Amino acid sequence: MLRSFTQSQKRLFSSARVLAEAVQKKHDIVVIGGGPGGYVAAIKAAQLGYDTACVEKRGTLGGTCLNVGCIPSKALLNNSHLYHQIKTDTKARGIDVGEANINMDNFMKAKETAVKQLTGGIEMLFKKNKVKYYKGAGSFVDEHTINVDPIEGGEEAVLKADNIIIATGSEATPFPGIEIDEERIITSTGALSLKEVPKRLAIIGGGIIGLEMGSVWSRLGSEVTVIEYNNAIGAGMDGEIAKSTQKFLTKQGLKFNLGAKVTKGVREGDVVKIEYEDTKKGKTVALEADVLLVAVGRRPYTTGLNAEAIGLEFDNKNRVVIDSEYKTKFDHIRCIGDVTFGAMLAHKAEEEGIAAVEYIKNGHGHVNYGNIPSVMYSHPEVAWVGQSEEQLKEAGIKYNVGKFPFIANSRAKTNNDTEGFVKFLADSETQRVLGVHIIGPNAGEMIAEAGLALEYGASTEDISRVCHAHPTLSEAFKEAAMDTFGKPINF
Amino acid sequence: MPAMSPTMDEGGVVAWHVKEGDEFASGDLLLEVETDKATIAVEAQDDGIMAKILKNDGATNVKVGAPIAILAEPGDNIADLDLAKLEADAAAQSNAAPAPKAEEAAPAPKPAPAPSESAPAPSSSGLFTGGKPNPSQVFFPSVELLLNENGVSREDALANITATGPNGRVLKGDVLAYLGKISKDANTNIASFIDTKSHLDLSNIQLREAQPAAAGEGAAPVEEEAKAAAEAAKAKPKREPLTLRHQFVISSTIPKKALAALVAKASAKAEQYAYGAHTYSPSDLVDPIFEDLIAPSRDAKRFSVKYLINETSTSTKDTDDIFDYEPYEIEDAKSAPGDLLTTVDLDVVVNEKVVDGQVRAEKFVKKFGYYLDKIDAKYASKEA
Repeated sequence: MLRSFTQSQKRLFSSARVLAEAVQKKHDIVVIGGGPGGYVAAIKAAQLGYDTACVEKRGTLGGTCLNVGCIPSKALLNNSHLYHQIKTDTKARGIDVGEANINMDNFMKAKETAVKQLTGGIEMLFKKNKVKYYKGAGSFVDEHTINVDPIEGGEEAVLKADNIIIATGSEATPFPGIEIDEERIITSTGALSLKEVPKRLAIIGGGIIGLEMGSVWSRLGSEVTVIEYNNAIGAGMDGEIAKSTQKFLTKQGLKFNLGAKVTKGVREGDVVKIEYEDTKKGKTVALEADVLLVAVGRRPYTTGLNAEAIGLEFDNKNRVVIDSEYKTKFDHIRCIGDVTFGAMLAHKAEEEGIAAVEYIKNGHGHVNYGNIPSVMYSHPEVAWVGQSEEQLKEAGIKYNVGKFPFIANSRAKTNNDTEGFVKFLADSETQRVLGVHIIGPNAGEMIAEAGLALEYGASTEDISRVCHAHPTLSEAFKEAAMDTFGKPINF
Repeated sequence: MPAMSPTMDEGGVVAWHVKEGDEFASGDLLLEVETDKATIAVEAQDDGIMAKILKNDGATNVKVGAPIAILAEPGDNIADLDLAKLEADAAAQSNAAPAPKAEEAAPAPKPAPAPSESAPAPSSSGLFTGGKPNPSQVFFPSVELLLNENGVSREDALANITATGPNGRVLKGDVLAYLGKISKDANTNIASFIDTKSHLDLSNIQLREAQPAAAGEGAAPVEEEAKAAAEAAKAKPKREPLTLRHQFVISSTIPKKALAALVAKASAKAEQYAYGAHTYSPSDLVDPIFEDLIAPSRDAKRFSVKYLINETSTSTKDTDDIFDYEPYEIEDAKSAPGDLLTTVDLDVVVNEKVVDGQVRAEKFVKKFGYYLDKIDAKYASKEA
């Protein structure tokens, strides 16, 4: 068979293209949702040899976390902290600086650059790992078919899949009776891109999102008032840690109203009128703010998925019902992350994404739900993993507490950043580590060591027998461990 | 057969450590039981005599609760016992109640083994009681110190201590319990507590009110199909390796030997280029250092090349079928009847395990064609 050079090339290319188009529609695994759970699952699946596709309708990958959550908030938290430190904390350190000002445009741009680089990075990772990326809204046609309704830059497609992983995430829970306009009455999304510093910022919800956003705007000059229904902030933090956190944040200028039931929140022109019932005193308090942030939690998101049509089961909080292998009612449809059970955390979704794919491949996956850390990036940072004192008391477990304050830690002293402490909870007989709670500088990084200890079933003695560098903050970690069974050396 | 874990439903006897007629004391190793997960040592809970072994070393697939031996109380005269009857009784009993009971009704001998400390409790209790230590572990510092202080050798520790840590890890609490410094219950209780916390709590799921659109019909066959598909998916990832096939035509006359050398050189040069070239175009989103870090090793084989040089006469007319006919095809003057044409058939097998395998293989094919084209052009101009 002979043909000219150009002709044979042409023929080869055209037949390859036709073939590629036919294959595009059928995949081994289709992941719906490109957030931390979905994109990690997709890449892992591709790495394990599956022909994998990921459907995402946001326009950029990374989900809530990278676009309007963890990542942009950390950019704002870090830069606002830097600004606040320059303003308030330089003189004592012997640094004389002139006037420090916020340039809001550039302040936001710094955040956007970080977001853009990271979301674009995932797209590159998809290309590298040969994950087919469908830009559009995925919805079930039947239990093996997903229709992709394209957004700008996407292509229309009908996908057939042997396995499907639902990772559609969550959205901010609205507050009944309060209408969000993302301008004056906002969710966390709006709080990440305010055009100017509001003079008065009211926040409904004293959880991690509320406190982080409160920290950012308070450092930039807002008067921040937190209104929390429960009698403690920090949603699920160890009680003692929550109290300390509240103390430190109050010192920074945040105001807290606990046990407060919000009854009204309406925008009137450029102000928001809020009313809440003080459940302790039994009276109604009125409050005015320039901006009201509603941060009362998040709820599973399945809008447009058409999951009801194929008969997927939901629980009464609209979570997709799964079994211990993430299987829904259908063995080939699995579900991970915020849209199903467990803590709504990016790193938990990532672990589940990997595990779900490993279940498909080998029938075995691993997520230790007793060892999922939580971090709040306020200043001082708060981080914890494992059980809280409240949980242990409820379970009737006898435990020892070991504590070490950063004020007695040499590195914290030299940094002049000594707020907070490390707290260990260990089984009173076996000294096995049950929970670690840290409030203080670098808590979010330090908690990783606690995770390792929990994963291996270490006792506090084991931690105290591991050499920690001097002078570091991590010495406080070691000494707190020591305090559960003996005496710390430096306190 | 004792239940060594809540999910165990059958097991095997690896080896008995007591012979028939042997006396044993509480805590002595009686036998090793094999489950689908691990081999676990079973200790005697009370003093006694081994009356008869019913399942010998190497017995497998013994149902949980089935009698594997008959034990007598210390001082019993084994010769007096009607073992055949006891055996039948025990079998009947185990059929009626599959879970082994610590105390059997028979006053003297009882079906063995009674669950001892190292043998986990029956499934009903749901306790996580650990298993045999993983012999390849490095001990925790606390464990090593405790063993040392108490004169327990590593071998003894691995043989006798029940490990409640992940993957057969011996924890400080395990050693303390073994040494009797804390109660064994305290140790298993905390292990069970941690075990329950390590799973998502999927009990008590309250279903949402059924949506009207819910599809109830045909659920069963759909599920079966899904299962079949899932199994198919499991077996799937073995695919034909991706091969890029190209045919290049060299129309000028080049001596055979020289051509072979030139093509070999072209292939080597194209390969060098394909391995060295950047696979991304520079942009704001691309950080070269990051790319470098996550890229596969430079030495990893991306593709393998095979080519064949054919000399063919074109004296016969192209007999391709009608589907090969392309109206825009221009008759090449060089392929006139009677001419001698040389083709290079190229097969590039892509290593798909390396992420940039295909990209680099495509680069190779393009460059290879480019070099062949150059060779062709050079000789064509010589001919002219």
